Amino acid sequence: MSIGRLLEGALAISALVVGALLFFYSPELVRGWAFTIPGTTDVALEPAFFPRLSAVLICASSLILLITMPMRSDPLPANETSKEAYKKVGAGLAGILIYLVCILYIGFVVSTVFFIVGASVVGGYNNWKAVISTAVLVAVGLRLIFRYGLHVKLPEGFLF
Amino acid sequence: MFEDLLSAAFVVLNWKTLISISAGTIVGLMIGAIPGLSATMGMALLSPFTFFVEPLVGIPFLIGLFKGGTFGGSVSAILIGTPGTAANAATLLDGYEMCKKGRAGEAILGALHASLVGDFFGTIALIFGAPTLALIAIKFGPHEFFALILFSLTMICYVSGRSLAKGVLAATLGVLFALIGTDPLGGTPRLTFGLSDLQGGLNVIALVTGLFGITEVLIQMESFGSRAKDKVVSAEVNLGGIRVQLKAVYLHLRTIIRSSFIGTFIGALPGIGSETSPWVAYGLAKRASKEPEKFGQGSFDGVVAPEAANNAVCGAAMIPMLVFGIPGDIVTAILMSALIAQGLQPGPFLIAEHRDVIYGLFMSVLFATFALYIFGRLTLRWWIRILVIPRPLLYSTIVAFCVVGTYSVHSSVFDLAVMFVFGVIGYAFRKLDIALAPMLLSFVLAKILEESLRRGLIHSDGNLLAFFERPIAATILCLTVIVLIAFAVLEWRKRFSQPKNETR
Repeated sequence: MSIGRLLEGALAISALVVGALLFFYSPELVRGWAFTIPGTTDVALEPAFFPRLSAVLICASSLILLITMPMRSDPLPANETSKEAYKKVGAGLAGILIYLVCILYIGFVVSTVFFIVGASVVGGYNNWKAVISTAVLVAVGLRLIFRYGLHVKLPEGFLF
Repeated sequence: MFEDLLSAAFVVLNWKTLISISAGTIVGLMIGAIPGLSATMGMALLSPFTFFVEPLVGIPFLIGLFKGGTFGGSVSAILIGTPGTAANAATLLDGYEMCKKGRAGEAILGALHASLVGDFFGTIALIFGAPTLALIAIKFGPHEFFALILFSLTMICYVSGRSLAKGVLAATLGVLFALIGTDPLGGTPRLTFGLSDLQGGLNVIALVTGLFGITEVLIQMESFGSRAKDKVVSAEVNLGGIRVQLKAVYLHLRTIIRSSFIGTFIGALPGIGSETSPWVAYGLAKRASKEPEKFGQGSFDGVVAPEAANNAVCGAAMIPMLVFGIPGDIVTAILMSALIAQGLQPGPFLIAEHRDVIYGLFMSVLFATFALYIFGRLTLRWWIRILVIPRPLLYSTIVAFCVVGTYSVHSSVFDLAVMFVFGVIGYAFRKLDIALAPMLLSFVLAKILEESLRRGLIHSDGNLLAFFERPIAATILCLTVIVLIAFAVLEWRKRFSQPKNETR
């Protein structure tokens, strides 16, 4: 079985487990009271009613996916992606995560400049002049538009 | 009605709205022309900007972007054989062949003319169809709304992916994410795990930006560093003569009008939208053609048919969104979020309660049609330059836009985390060939679905059969069951008629 199909199966099983957990633990997860008219509308008024219904649907759809998996023969993009490409995506994800954390501590403008320059150069575009000017223009431009045009304060951190 | 339209035209004819429509159209054209970027992504990135300006400035910007983006996708389809959006995939077949023969300019201009006609049809359907349908929608109760949303979800699941099972799973997961927050009837916190940030539910903009913005960036990152892909178009792309004789357009008018009707009809159905209509229009144009063998070889009909159809969808898709509060596709879901952020709750009473604004929007849709033609025509030669923007620079800039767009809605760092997580989920789904549209649309629709189901049950003292006792609800529910069975049978046949072609 291909890696794509294995991942598909793993997703279906995970969804099945989440659905089952949601069904059995809904009353604990959904805290609160329900104004009920016993015997008539009490079920519909319970806050856990819809989550339990959704849990049934999640379980049913993941079961269908699991059962129909052997019948499926369409090629999956996951199988056609090289390890090299996954490594690049992993590095990209790490870069975005670091960028998000940096925004909080050193501010939007400086982090954005570093991120755009870093991602462009690592991505294989080495025209420093174009990269730095675009990065500064985007970071400063967005900050000015949001601060003075839309009156939204972007994270400043200890720099800006 | 005509008085309303006339007074709305005067309201819209001010410099702020006109600039907004023009800017939206130009940005849309740019975004659509770049492979990988689509009207959906553009709307997700830029809709937060519109929350801070008045409705008749912000929403027309998004409408212009929607129309521009839908047409813009045809430019890259014709010039480099890569559709800017899924809606332009059918245009590629003959458009790219025309480009290879040095007739790219003719193909793009033909697509523009067809888009103008298609767009006009969709807009007229919106202007006259929405107020009429709203009169019927006022009679809808929770039972009818529940049935209609269920029907929409069924359609969405099918058309948004190759596998019905995957579409359904994506939709149910969308419902799960929508449950997080507050119970819509009782107001008690639900699935928040004690986190105060989750009490208001997941922010739809963070979700959309993650699923469509970050996911696309990650997909593009796979090919970073490979020079062949970094420069997507070579300098030798030749537009040829940018001139289409009006006689040529007239000769193909039958195809354009037929395709416009198809696009309008399919667009007005919730869930199907711009990805399906171009293929239906292309197929019918080929069947009706006296020279079907020329399709796929650079036929002018093969370019104008899908383009008329996909632009006709733009106006028509807004009908179910405005009248029932049911977005037909992702773009209209984002448009609906923007309307809600402006204090305009789509639904049967929207037109009656906000007549000035809604008729103003109708006129904006009409003006955007003309803006698309004018700016599409004037800026035709820019697009080759846009296609050579280096991908690493472009997509790292897009990440910055994703961040500001998401953060600005609630000034919330938590939303950035949600965006990141959904970016990863979206990437995994794309790799497993699971469509993202059912997840997003069910996320948007789940709250109305739950509310109408529970209210319906309360009205009928918990009796589920009440949904089948009301004629409209019963008809829609029966239609849903028929559609589901038909889809399952089709899927089953497809499975067993296909040879096994998986290699790894």
